[in-house]
Amino acid sequence: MRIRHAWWWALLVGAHAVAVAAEDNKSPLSSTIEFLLGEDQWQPGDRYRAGNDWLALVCGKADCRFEPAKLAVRREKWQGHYDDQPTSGQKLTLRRQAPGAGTVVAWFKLNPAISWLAAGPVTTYAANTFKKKRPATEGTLELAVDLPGGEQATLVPLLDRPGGKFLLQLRMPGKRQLLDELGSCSHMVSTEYLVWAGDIDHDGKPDYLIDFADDVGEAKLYLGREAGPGEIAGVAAIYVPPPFGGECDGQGWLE
Amino acid sequence: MWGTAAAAAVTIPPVPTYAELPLPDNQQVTATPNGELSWLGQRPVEPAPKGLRQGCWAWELTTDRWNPSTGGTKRTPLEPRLSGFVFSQLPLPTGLLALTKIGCQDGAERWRFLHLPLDGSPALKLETDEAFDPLLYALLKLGDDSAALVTRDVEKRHIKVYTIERVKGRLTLTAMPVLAIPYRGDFAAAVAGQNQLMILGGSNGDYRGCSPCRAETHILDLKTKAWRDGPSMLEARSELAASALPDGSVLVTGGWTKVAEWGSGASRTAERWNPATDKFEALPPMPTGAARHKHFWWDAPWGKTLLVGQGTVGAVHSLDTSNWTWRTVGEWTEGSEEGGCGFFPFVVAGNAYAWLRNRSEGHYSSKSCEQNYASLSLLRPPSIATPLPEPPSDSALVTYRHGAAFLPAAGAAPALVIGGSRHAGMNSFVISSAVEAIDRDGRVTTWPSLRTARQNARAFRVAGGVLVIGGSGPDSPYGGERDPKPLTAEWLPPTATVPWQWQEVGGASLAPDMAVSQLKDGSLLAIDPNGSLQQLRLVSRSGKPTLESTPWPSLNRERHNSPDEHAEMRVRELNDGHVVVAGGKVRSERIALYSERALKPGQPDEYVGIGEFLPWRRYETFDPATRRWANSAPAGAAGGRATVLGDGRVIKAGEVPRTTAEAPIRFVLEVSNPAGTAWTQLARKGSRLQVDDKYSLFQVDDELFASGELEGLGTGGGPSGVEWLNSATGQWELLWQAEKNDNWRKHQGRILRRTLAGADGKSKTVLTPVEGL
Repeated sequence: MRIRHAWWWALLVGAHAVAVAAEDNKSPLSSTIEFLLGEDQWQPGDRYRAGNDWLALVCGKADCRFEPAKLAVRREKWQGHYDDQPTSGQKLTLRRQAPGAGTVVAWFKLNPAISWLAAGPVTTYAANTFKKKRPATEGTLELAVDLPGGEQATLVPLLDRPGGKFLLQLRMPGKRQLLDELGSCSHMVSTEYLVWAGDIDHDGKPDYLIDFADDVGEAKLYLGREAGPGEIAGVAAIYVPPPFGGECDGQGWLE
Repeated sequence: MWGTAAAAAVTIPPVPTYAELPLPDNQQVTATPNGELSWLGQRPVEPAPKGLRQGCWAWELTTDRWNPSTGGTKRTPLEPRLSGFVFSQLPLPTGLLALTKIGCQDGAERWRFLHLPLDGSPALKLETDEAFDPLLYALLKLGDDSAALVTRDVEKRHIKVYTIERVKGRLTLTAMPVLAIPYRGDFAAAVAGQNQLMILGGSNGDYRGCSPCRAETHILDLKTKAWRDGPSMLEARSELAASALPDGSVLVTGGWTKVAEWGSGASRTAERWNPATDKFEALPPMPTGAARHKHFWWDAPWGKTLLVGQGTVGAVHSLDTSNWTWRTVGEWTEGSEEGGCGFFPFVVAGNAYAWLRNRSEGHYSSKSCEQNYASLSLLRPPSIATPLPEPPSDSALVTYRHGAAFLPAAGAAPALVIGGSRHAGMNSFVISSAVEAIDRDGRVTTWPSLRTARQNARAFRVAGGVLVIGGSGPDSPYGGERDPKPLTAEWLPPTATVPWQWQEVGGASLAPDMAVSQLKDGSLLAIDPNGSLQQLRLVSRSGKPTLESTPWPSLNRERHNSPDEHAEMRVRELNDGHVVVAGGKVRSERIALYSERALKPGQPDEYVGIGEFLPWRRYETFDPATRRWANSAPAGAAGGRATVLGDGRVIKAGEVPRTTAEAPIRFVLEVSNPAGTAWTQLARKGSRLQVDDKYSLFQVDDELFASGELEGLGTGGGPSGVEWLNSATGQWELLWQAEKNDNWRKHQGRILRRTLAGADGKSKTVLTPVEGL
């Protein structure tokens, strides 16, 4: 039996959507990207403020767009399974400002310092509302993302037998990049990890929104422009889901 | 319309009721040349003699006769009349020796020995005041006119031995020294050479089983009247059986041992005391374990035969002492934890049968030898015997074994029923190594038993003999089914081979849950649950049969053979040389392995299966030209048993996906097209079988059969009907059905013999098990 307390890290740093990258000139906190997954959730702390300064990334079967969204906030405590005292936090409710077709796959906070965070179409190559595409490999849990110019990126879950975990790898012709751990609690993997892929910042480089969370874990936005040496994309923002009150029992597919 | 069967039904009358004739309990009977069985019995004297005190019953001895083939019974009082109650009797060459007890009608209870000479001269009597244990007494033949009585001191449980001898027209009783060791009544006694008697094994525990039991033996020299310690048996045993063999050695079989302890089923092992070395030597094990059993010689129609049976397991085995080959001769519906009460062999229309009477089970105060616990079995001649003139009635084609491998008849070669498990009392089952052959005429013979008892094995005709592979059994390294390990394959060479015995096969060993099928060239294709395949060929290496393995391309998906979950895999080479693998449970996910290589661009991945095994929907077809496997389209229903036709079509009975947990479970019969690109529902014209998780489609002699349940018969879960698809009419025809409310055990291991009109218009006789293949 393993107990995960990854959310404690979020409590300590006091940030739930954490910016690690910036806009055009890679600067400062004013240009942080903040996003959330899920329309109703509890988050620790009190940093969120109600308002209409949010965008919904809305996807249909073949395309996505940013639509204006709003956040409602209510103070609420949460009692963790192993906690003596409840933790103070906020109940967040995110909604589109005008109802419409499509499914919200992520919520982004407007930031005047980031010009591409604006309502309108978003160049999209894949989303969890699209029909999934498998690469021409044996791997049944792999996904292919067709890119402009005939290139194809693939997302390849790997089984690390000695490590007893699953890892997700992003591949482009001539490049491979390990991203993060999948199925870290249940030790099972599906193809739901890809939330979205496209060119969110209009720089011509593919970007990826990957959800690694499995009761514990995070979702990460990878931007092509943030790629380090040898990388395909770099982490631009991290979303930490609400804390998990249970335990990661069993070995799932690793048994 | 049912198919026809050639053998005429033989009516065997039932066992007489107790009112008609009480059968003896655990006593030896004498078979007379006219087919009668006779024994010394007793009956209340009627009218009761005057002057008896209240509560005193007067008994008189009778000569009882029963002809099981006609049902005729006869009771004749001894002349002159003799009072008494029979405890034990022993047929001797000169007459019948009996231990009886006289009671209140004669004034006081006393033991009385009787010798009833065969020549009709007057009975000899000897009354004694010696105290015998009324619950433990056994007469052993010492000579034509002499026997030993083995009994106990009731209080101390010490073993007491007496000799009783006819000398000059008188009976003399001689007490031997007591063996001052306390025993339960679970030891064995046997004559061990000239003027010696051996006590073997046993225990002095409070409970049945071997916790602990003894390997020690004690030998009584009847001349010097002295006990000495004998050699230890190879295994400690209780409730074993032991008897003298014609060569002066002592055969020891079964019982509870440290390995085969109470709860796991009695021991199969056998050993033999060799008087030349004064040591015990291991013999091949019996086909099934047994406890509370007996050894007896029987003048069978095929010759004098040493039988071992009448114990906990409802089976009797023969031992050919010329080559130490075991065979299973008869099997009955059920065993009894308490052991048997009587074994009554007889012959009808050239075929041998036997009634086995079991002791009732359940609460210990209620166990008894009741005549309504009798059941009948055909006694199978050995395959090496001269064929009997007539086959038995088809109703006798039953083994009562579950999980036996069935090898269909091929040309003149008989069908074989191999291994399986059978009832051994209460909730206990033991795994068997029995092998029977049934030819298309319905003649049944018993073949040498396997070296290793196994159930759910597979059998194939290979290299002129029979190859048995896989399965699980008590001889698996870790035993039973909890963690069955691969059992060594066995091969029985062609019948002309000397010795004609099963040989261990070297080389590849197969896991119990591997799916195996035979290709047209005689080789085998074995599929491991991880999806890897190997082609196996039987070759001779240094004179030993050996399985050589050649890898085949792996399946696209790992596929698990799960017979216990009604998800058997089916493998078949098609008419065009393609190979189809269907059924089982499929692991549909595959994932690349993480390694240093996986980090380098352009490097190929190594994939493995991962995740749960789920009921199958697709089958895979191997193209010999490309040596690649291709997936079929998915069936509408998941899982279910399948059968593969020679043209590539696959038929399956699967469960329709339920929209809610409360929705009723529904099964559907589907058939694929030969290319595997589409499935359609299959009409079942004329069929009455219910399509559910017990429905099983199978093929024998290129005919399609279905086994399952017929509504309303209430057989408690076993198959209650078998249908055949008449390809000429497209109609399913009922070949067999159970009687209403039949106990499912009654048809376990039942083989049908039916003559059918084949697709080519010619009739053919088919042998098939009612539970399918």
